[in-house]
Amino acid sequence: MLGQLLHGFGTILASPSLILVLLLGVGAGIMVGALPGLTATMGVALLVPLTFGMPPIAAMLMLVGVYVGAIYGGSISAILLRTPGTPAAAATVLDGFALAQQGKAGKALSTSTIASFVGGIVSAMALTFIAPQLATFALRFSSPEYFALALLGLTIIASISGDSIVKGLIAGMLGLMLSMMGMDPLTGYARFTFGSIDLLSGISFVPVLIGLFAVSEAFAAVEQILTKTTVDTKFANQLLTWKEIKGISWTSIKSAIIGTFIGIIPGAGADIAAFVSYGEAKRSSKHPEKFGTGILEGVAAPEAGNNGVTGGAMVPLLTLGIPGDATTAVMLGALMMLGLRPGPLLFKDNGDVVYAVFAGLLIANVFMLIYGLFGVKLFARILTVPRVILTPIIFILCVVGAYAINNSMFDVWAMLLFGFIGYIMQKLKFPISPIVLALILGPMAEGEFRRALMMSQGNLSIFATRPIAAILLVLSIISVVQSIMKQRKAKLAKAQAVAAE
Amino acid sequence: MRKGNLFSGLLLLALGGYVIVKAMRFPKPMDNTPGPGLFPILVAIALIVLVLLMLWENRTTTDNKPVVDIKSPDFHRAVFVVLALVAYIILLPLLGFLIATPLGLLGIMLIVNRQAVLMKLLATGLATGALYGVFHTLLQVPLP
Repeated sequence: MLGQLLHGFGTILASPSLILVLLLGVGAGIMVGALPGLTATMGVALLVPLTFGMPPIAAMLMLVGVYVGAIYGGSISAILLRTPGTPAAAATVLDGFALAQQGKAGKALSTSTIASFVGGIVSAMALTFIAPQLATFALRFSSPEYFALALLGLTIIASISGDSIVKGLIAGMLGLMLSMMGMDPLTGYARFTFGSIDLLSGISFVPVLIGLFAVSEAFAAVEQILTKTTVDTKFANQLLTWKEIKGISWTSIKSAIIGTFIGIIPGAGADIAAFVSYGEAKRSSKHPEKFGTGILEGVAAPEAGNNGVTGGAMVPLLTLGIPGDATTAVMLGALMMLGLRPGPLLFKDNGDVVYAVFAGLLIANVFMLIYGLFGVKLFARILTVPRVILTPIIFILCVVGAYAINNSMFDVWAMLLFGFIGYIMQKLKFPISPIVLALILGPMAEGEFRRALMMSQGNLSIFATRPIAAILLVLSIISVVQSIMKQRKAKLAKAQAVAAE
Repeated sequence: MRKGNLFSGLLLLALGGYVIVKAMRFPKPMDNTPGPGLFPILVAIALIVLVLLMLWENRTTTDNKPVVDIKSPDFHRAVFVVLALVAYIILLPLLGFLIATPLGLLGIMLIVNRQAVLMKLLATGLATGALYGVFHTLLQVPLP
């Protein structure tokens, strides 16, 4: 394993083009993350078409770079504007902006950079050592286990559904329906194609992705586009002293471990990791009352936590083909478009790509550290670009990105349609991530279910008699029930709070 | 929100019903294995059950705010931008990237507000050039 990792490092460091791709990816990610309204998921979705002409390693490094950069970049606007650039940076606002108001924006940004670096490195190490073991275990999987795994992934929908699990599951069902359009892979029968040749191969994943995540957000942004924001980009570059670094080190490492663990759990993303890490840091602090007033630990905890998710979320992605969060759901689609099927066989057949990704994740975090410590003022300037200029450019980028997939205007129209659907869904408070997750996992769920039944001559007991499949199915049920109970508890608490007022 | 949930619920119920009717006409295999119609039917049934659950929960919703404020200038702006984007997509294969894109960009920017036209013209030119450079020249992606 160590040999393969060193080979991964060698592959990247010996190739100037791969280093450049990582540098560009991290830089682009920081820019996307810094801009409020543009999420890490949107950034990765927009860049997927750019990776089409690239070899698999370069493509994955680009996307990993954007992921790492974007999760960190959200802290820039959180600290300077009191508006998180990405949902993952929402907890950073609490102490980050307070520090900026005290004239310590530079300290806050340095803290964010170092903590994010710690989070990213810890999670990259976890990915490197855990993923191969899990992949070896997953070699025992056959169709029943893969179906149960896909079902578990689909039930994760319930946990990423935000306020309404029912609406999340409905969105998931819509995603499953979309995944069934086109030629049935087992019988070749054309389903729901409405006589269109363009739909014979099904709905292309990327236009749906760009439409739902990027275009719909841009439509929503148009409504707020005239809101002016002022940014102080003249803050002093304040690097941390050794005493300050020592002061945040334990908080950063602990939060990184929390973030990595949360990232491994499919469905729990960087925003949850950030808040859990912040909450734990406050709980275990000798001075919890200082949290929220502008202390460095208050920035270090959420930033280490959210970047800790990056490697963790890639563990289930690469080993089982189940995305750890919405951004890795997009990466799953990208992997499939590159002809790489995530799972244990990926480690066997494309080990060079996998270990290059591991090495790339480590190197991306180093680049993020360098950008953050020496170039953050430049990235802060991005915040001064008027949205009136930026939002139309995003629209055009979406159109070009959708066209680039198959050189087809059909994909562009599909993107626009899903952009419109996503916009309406947001207005109706339907979550969007479940559609994408179901669109990706649907073919796997249906295909493996039917193959499993072929194996058992139509006998459903195959799912109960194979232990791993049975356990995964039980976990799926527990996942849904737990999410429903959590939501009910939250609703009850809210109702009690309203009654008390 | 209540009316929005009701309207979307009815639409989704219709979709579920359509999928079931269509999928029941898919060919069934001669042996016991599931055919191409099974999963669509199962998913459609699950959809219908979930939508009915949503409509049931909607009974007690006190949120009667409209989903969109159709009188709001912000909403009108969003509508005009959608229309401008549709026009751009229609014109793109007809006029080509290098002519349609600056027109589309400038059009959308001016719909949003009509100030600083010179800056918008400059941004339009730079953005068109950058996108062409990256996609067509660097990545060798053919553009319309």
